[in-house]
Amino acid sequence: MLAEFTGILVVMFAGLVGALTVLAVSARLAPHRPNRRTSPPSAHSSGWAGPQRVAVRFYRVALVFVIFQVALAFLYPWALVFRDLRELGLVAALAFAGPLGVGFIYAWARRGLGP
Amino acid sequence: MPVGTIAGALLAIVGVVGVLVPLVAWAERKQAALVQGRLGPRRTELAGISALGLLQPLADLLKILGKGDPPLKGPMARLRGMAPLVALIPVLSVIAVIPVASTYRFGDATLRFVVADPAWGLLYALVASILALYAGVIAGLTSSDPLARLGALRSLSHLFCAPVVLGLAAVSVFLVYQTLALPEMAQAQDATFRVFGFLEFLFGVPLTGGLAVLTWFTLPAWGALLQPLGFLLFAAAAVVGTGRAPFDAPTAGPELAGGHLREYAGVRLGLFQLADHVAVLGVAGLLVTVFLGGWSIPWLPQAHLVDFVARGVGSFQGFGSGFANGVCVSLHLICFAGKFGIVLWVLIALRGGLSRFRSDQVIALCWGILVPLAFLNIFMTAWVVLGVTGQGGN
Repeated sequence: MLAEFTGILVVMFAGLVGALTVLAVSARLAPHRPNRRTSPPSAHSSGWAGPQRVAVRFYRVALVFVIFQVALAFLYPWALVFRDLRELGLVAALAFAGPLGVGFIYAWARRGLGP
Repeated sequence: MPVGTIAGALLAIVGVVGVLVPLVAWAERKQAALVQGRLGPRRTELAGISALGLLQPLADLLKILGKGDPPLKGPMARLRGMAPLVALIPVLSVIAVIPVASTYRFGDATLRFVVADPAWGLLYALVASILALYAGVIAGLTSSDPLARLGALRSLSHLFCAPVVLGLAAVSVFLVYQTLALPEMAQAQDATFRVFGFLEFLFGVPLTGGLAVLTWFTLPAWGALLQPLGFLLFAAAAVVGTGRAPFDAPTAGPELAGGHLREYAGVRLGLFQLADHVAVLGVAGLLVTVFLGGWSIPWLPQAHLVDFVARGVGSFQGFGSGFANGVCVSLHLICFAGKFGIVLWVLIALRGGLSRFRSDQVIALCWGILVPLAFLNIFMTAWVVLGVTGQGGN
């Protein structure tokens, strides 16, 4: 299991080392004279105002997104063994996607999927 | 084996960050200049040679290194400081699973051209590229700037729809290849299929006699030809995922003046841009590997090529197995590079060629058109797979 990860981890680690090196080099090279014009908060606000309050529809869309992503997670193993399941697999997937489709059409008709 | 893997990983990262990213940065600026009737970068010189401004990325790097980076303040400063790394590291790791050539045997030694070959390669690539989307959300929501927060919300709304399309398009790909490993997918495309084979399937008549002519028409078994709709869906969703034009509403210049990138400067901004370029390379690599045959040469499978060069035909004596594999490696690498370059250019040209989608248009496009199409594609594919495998072969 770890052997499969080796290449990916090495790339990640090398990338991290490279990025941190560049940050360190820049910290030594770059001028460090912050003033009111260059430092945040910017002209538009008076500082970080705590956790942002967002419209409730974002949570609604997020829930629909989560439902579909979870449904997706079930479709992957199904797709991989589909040739063994054959007709049964197709019927099962249709039975699985049917209620999902009804819910999707309802959400779409009620404009629940966008801002 | 670990030594080889580590060497390959370092080679890949140096090749991508040191060679391909500067080339993409240069091509992007030149392409934008071309579209807008400008000349683009051309004044960087080394010993009097300007080479079409190819040294511009180097000059950019030097400039960025010397730029002041105002210290991040506030309760979320540490998280904001990490956001560029969140953007960069996952997309960088995607390159590890993309095979640039096949597997070759030199006597007892086996030469592979992929850094990591997990059984879940494509799944990992999808997850990693989606993970990088969160960097924009983190950067924007921890920012004190209202425009940056708006950018984060737009990122979030893209994040809520693009992965669904990407994942659904991938399901139909899995149905065809029956594997999640990218090298196996590329291998499966190193073949051909008969264009009119579906007639046999439809009418139950074997193509013989006069109809046998039809069996001569073959096409490479590329994902884009077996799954044209899946290819388009995957490509569209992948471009939404990179947050590039025409889906760059989160950082739209005219409205949000940089969006979630507004309060970044110097190296941190540079890392975000680096992540953007690496993401394009990753998407191009995935599209080539999954849909455009990867390293395979159309109508010339690896086994045939190696066999022909090694043994020869008729009076032609052949050059032996080692030489044949060497030729094969070079041709496959050239083939991959060619496809990769074309896809990359299309992705870069999109930027100048299309106008920006509004965020609500992206959502309407994804949920209203792409998701239903993707579901339709999955069931159509399943039905065809059922028919084809029932008849035995395609």
